[in-house]
Amino acid sequence: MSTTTKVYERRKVKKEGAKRNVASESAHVTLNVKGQDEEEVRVFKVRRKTKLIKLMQYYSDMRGVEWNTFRFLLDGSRIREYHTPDDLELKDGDEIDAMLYQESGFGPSSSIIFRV
Amino acid sequence: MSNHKRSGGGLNPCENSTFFSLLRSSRVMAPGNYRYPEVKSPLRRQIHGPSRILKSGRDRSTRQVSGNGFGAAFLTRNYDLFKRNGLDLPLPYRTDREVIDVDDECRDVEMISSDNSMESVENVAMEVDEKAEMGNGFVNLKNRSFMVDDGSQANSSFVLNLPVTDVTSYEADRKAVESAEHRISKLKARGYGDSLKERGRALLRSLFPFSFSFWKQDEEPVDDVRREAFLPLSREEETVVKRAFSAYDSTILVAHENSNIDITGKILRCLKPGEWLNDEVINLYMVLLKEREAREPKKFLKCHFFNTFFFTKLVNSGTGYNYGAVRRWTSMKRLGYYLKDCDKIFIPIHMNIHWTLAVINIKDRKFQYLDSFKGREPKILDALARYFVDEVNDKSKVDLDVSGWRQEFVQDLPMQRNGYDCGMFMLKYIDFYSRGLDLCFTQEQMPYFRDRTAKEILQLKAE
Repeated sequence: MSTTTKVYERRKVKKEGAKRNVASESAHVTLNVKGQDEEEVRVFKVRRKTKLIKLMQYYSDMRGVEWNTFRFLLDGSRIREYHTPDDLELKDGDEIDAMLYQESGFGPSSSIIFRV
Repeated sequence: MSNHKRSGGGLNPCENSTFFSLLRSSRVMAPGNYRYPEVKSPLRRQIHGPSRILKSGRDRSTRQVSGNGFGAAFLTRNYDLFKRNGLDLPLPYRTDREVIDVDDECRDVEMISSDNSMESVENVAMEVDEKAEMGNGFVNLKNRSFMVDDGSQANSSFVLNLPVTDVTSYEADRKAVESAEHRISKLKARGYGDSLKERGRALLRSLFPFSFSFWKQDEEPVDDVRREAFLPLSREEETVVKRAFSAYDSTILVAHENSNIDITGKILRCLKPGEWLNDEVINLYMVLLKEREAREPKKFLKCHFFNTFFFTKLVNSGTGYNYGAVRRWTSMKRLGYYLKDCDKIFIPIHMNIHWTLAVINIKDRKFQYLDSFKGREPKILDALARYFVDEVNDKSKVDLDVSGWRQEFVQDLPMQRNGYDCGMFMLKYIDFYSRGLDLCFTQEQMPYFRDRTAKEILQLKAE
């Protein structure tokens, strides 16, 4: 429930921005992308209507791998290339997980140390 | 073979006559235990059934037949045939009255003593002969009645009276059918049907493989649920799977909307024998299992299936246990239910080169760890216990005490004997547990399971 109202508010803000003819900040969303095996979080600013493949490609380039190396998850669900932040109702500060693909075999991830 | 019980309608005579004609038309070799029926009953040697008075005025000699619980008696000229071939099937299979040719030389009157319990049946059977009178205990040749002699001494023998009469009219025939049915039901009530049926069925099966379907209607599913887990693939399904395996790498074979997973040719090929399983396939299968449960909630346990990334995210190499990282994975909005309301929660665990499974078994209050190599990792279960407490606390604001729950490293499970089936084993552990079955499969069935999983993925429906 609260998320939908938030979306509504966001849109309202957007409209106001358009009315005032300001380069609206709300056309962008700030997303954090956290890789599976790295500590730091990379921050990306994405337009709402842009397909997220751009994000994925950019991130993968930064990491130095092919773009489909990572599986991008939002709270457990997969993000596809053709999704846009609007589709997924992303808000500022949402975290996307970039997980390495898993094959029982050559798991490129290093062994997971369990520190409970 | 277990005893089969037929639900209603007994053996109808037409079935038997077919069976009969089949038998008659073939030289049946005896099952090993045929014995010529011994004469046991102390009946007087006289005709105990209606018989025609011969011109000579003499009665035909009777032959008394009774065996250990069964006897075969046939009133036709094929009697010798059967005697030779040793078909020691019991009487219920031979229910219709034979049409006796009076002038036939080898006509015999077979007389078999009857049980006490058969009295009532006999009484009914007597209706057949229109001119028969209900009489107990004596032979009245003139009236063509037949008697029921209940002086049987043999414990296990059961017998029937066989009238020798020329029954050609429709009325008599109909009554024959009725009485036969009555008789059959009585016999069945005494439990004769099962073993007899089995023997007959085994016999018929050995003779006529194509007629097996004829008998199949008798079979009752011994274990319906278990059978469903092992249903073989049909021909078309097999060809579909084969064709999919030879698709191009980049061809998208199926796209599942809910989970946003596309299965390409390359990904599906991981299901070929000898290949290591891919996380896309596993994650998609998890979603399909959840959908299966949603389709038929009564048939499956209430489960939650995490995807393969969950545990990695929960226990991060960098920061260790981190509940916050997965907190939003199980929100009410996303799932529609609370985790603590499920029966079982399945968490696939990917450990570098191995797939294992952890289960939060809420129903039985324990944490289970299944490894097809029978390894043990207490740390995993500790992490999961902590997660579960945090989760219940976060979503339902309840303080759950899991200190009483035990940790079980399941030892009684099928083990893998190669280096590549661990993913498949894990999927099957999940599948069988969510059905509520125990893990009754082995390494040998893995190729079948691979094909079956491929089929279910291609049709986007787990069964």
